[in-house]
Amino acid sequence: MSYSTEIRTALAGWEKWNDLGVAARAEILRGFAASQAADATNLINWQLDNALQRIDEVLELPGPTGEANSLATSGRGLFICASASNNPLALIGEICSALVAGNVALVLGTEAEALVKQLHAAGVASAVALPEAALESLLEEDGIAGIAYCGEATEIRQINRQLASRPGVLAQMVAETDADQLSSIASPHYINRFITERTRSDNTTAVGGNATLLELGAD
Amino acid sequence: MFKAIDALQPEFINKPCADIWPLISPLYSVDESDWLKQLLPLAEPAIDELDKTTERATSLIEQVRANDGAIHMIDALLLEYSLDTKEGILLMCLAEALLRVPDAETADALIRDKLGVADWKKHLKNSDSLFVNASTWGLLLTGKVVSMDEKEDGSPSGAINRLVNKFSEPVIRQAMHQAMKIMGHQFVRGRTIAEALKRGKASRDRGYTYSFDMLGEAALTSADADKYFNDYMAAVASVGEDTYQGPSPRPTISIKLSALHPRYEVGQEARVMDELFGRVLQLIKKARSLDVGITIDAEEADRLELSLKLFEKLYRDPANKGWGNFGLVIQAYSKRALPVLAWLAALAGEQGDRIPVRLVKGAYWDSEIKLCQQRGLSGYPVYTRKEATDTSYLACARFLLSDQVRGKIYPQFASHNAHTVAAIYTMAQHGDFEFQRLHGMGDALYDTVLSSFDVNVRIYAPVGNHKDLLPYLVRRLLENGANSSFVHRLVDARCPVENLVEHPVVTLKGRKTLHNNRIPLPRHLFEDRLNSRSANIEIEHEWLSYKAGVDKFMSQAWLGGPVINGQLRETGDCHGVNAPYDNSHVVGQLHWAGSSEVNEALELAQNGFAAWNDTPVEQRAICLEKMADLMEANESELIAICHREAGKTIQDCIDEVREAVDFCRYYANEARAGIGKPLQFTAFDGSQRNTLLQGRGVFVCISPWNFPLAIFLGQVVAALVAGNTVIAKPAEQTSIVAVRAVQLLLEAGVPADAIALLPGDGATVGAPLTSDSRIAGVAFTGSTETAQLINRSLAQRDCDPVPFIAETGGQNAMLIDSTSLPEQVVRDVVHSAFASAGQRCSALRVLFVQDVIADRVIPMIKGAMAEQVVGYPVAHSTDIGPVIDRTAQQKLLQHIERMKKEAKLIAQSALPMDAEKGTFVAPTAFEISGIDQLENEQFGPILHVVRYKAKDLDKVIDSINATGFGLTLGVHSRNERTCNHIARRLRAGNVYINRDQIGAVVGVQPFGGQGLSGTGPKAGGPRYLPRFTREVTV
Repeated sequence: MSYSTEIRTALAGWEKWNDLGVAARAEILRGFAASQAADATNLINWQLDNALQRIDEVLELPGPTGEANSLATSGRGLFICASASNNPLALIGEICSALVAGNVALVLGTEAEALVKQLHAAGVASAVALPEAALESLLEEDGIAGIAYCGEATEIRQINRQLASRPGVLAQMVAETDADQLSSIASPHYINRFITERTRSDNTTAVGGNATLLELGAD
Repeated sequence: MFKAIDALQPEFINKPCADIWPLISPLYSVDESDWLKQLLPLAEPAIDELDKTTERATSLIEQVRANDGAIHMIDALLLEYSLDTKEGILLMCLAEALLRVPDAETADALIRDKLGVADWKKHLKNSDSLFVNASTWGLLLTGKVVSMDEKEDGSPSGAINRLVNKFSEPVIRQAMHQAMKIMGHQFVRGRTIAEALKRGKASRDRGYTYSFDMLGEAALTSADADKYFNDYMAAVASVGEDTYQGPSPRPTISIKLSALHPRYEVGQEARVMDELFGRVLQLIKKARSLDVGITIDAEEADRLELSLKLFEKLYRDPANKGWGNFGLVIQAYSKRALPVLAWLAALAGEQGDRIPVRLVKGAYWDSEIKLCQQRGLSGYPVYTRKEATDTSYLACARFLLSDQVRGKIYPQFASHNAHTVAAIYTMAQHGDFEFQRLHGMGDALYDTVLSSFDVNVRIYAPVGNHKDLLPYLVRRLLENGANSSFVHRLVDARCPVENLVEHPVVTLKGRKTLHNNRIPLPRHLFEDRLNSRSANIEIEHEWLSYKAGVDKFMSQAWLGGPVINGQLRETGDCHGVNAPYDNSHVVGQLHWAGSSEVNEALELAQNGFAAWNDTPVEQRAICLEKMADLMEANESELIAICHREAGKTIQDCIDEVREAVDFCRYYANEARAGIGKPLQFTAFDGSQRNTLLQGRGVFVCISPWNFPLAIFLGQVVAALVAGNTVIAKPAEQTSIVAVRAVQLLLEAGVPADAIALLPGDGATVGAPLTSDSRIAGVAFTGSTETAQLINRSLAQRDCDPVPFIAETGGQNAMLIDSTSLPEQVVRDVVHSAFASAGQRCSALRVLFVQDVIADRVIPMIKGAMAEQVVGYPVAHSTDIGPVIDRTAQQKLLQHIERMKKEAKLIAQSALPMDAEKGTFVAPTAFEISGIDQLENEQFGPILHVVRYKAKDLDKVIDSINATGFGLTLGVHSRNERTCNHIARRLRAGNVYINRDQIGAVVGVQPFGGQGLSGTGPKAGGPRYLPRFTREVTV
């Protein structure tokens, strides 16, 4: 079956969610964290803290006078979040990483409806439950930016193959094989797989003058 | 080397000027402190001279301050809206842009943008000047508005917001236009010379005379240059008709050379010395016949030597001989000023005609500093402290006022600084000189000077229509550093007179260092690494040694092939390498790798991994830094290869090597900071975890021909420093430079089993590598289609997914609205679209022009394209070289043919006479209906232009997003909200505001796209290296 309608709706809401910025999204997701069991709350809050530390700040980059250069992050688009493991934290970790980075989460599996309901209640519109969806057919859809998946290595290879066979954007395979320890999901670097970066370079002297240089002073 | 003190030897200027000429260029960026030590004795006054100067300056300032009407016009405006206030900057920004905006919608948005964010109310009553208050928006909006404003005492910025809300926008807009006109009136003496002469009569009765200037932007097209030329001819005629009978001397005309020729630059010296020479000569002939003196304005430091050559040729022409009224401007902030003056004095001595020289401090200081930092030049051509410039000014003045120079040069001292005026007057032992001031500035000072001293004063007065001139003048004013300038403090009673009369020599000697230690040299721009360096090819002294270095490698033939285990292999599958600009020109021979080399390299790299990964990060980082140094040591050879193998122009070759060098130093530091040091953190479950980022194994790096050194090496060294061993496959077209790079890497200490190079085609080399299960990751730059194939090939392997870092194509857009400045836009458009023959991932492909300015901007693009030089890329005069090969050329030509049928041709630049020897494509621009009219990226010098309406901006953004690409984006607008809106909504990896959109700098503008344009992370950014690693628990 086709999920085009759900995906179109989700994509329509993406820009707004992405524009909120990491801090505002983290703030909203704190509400979701609070509605979870203790270990999930811990995981989500840890991930939100990690995101605030690693991807929230717009980095001012050093460079020549008369330019302002910065590096910011944003979401990549639609992220499928799915897990074949019994550890419920895996799926929650995927969803929160995808969301706080600025993506729309398409949540699969039996937990999907309940989780997405809680997300909506917390004010996260950018989560879509597709509990019945078969991963294989969902992967055929346009507009998928990546998939976060927790499962066996063989499954992951299979999914990756299907992902690679798609035309268009090179979708990201963000895998977790350690269902017990969540060594990827609980790594500080995990969040980097869900973002895309944006460099902005302003010529601050286009109008003329260079206030920065004039204010330098001397000694 | 020139010694400053020599200039004061009476016999020095009796030398032939040709003997003094070679002394000028080496001082271009001489060590500032060393040179100032030499200049100080020339500027330093004897004790009685110092006392007299201080006394005179004090007296001047006291008289000025005692005068109620002292604070005039622009002085007052700058005092109230000084540039250290937000309002001052916003006022200037509005003044710079508003008058040229033709459509109400965009004008209103600009006004909202500038007015909404500042505290205007606090300026309403601060100034006594009627002009300033008139410029303060509240008063302009009638008394009723002001009283309403006084009653309500809300938030600081509330007043204007209320006004904006209360009145309909047309009223506000009209008021703003009125305010801008008032400002324009103060800056500009008249719209025509006749008007200026009429309006200047009162000043002349007081003893002033004028030098008029048709100021404006530099000409980018012949049409604009023609227009300026006609204006100047008319101006000369008008001034010639001056019938003023009073005591003040005859006015003169100042001309700006960059307005008279679209390519007034060193690379086009032949044209300058022919075409521009001819134009100025015509002006001289006319001016001489009417007895109107001519002064050539000074411009950027890069053009100084060229301007002097042109001046000499004009000066020596029979049309000028015997006149003595043809002069020029010299900038004292230039380190070369003193020898230039000596050269001029010698020139005048040789011919016997006096040369009027206006000595100014210099008006391009900010941009000179910025340019040098951007280009990684050896130093600055200008002084970095104001008091150093003042010292140089007085040193030059001492020379100009010396007995031996008298009669040769007629000095015209332009300054608004009371101390400078007093110092010069005191220094002068004769009266053969004059002072000059800018119209609207220094009125009070010079009124006092005229009444106290017996000296001529000339007002330098811009003439022209406000719409064109105001933006230009505002930019000049901002660049003059009005905030810290003397004018500002002269009339500011809070500033004690003693502070204003300190001699600059005293001030300068009181500093810790003679140069400004807060402005790092370009080489030391970054705190933690060296900036890559570049020669300045516009400067004779640097150009000659640069050129001699490269020339040594222009006829060498290189032998290239696979490099395995540190050895260059000759496989027998040998291919000739020829230059794209001349297919008969042999660059060398290249042996392609076959499957046995691929297997050998794989095995070796696999075996080499453990040891290299265990090598301390510090040691790996040092290898990269050594590599950077080696490339700088071998830059002449690398540049020559880039010329000959890739067909790159001079600046492109220099930038290529610089980027490669920057990658090495940047990644070395990033590795030190982020890799190899364990990361300790508390996990979500409260447990303590220690992890380490390590190499993953064998990385394959596949690179394109368009940056055959920079992208090639950037990928390779990133993978290496992260701990991986690397097999690199360079592009078939540009493998020689890759061979040399790998040889240098080995020399830099990278082990022979950590790096292998496999030149060859995709089928033989690329495909087996990317399907091999030993490959732990791939870094790729190239087409979106190839990226897909590699991704599939990797996924088909029976092993876990590995990192695939792909940098692919784009359909890059630039949006320009009606607040933007056409001259800036067109310069950036032409550069972004056609530099490197458009063969950059970042190059501009689709320009969106707001419809109301399209009929101004599009013809200007056409005119600027007509001035582009396509040809032999090794020539300094060439702007655009060939495309890489026949295949690329054919594809581009097909697209041009298709567009000729489906779109409107705007312009096509000319090809060189011998174009068929190589693979050239003429830069071409088409007007199309929308970005959806294009199917794929056209990787070459083809620009598409789309008109859009302001109200459709979001539709335009949606259409660009709909392409799925997202690499670079350019925006030109003076409206910050518009810039932010576009930057936020348009999905592009690199956004460039009010500048060109190519030439990303490592660590400054990390580079990479979104969506179809690439996977990320960005090359040259802080997240790049970790993607080459695996995280292990320790």
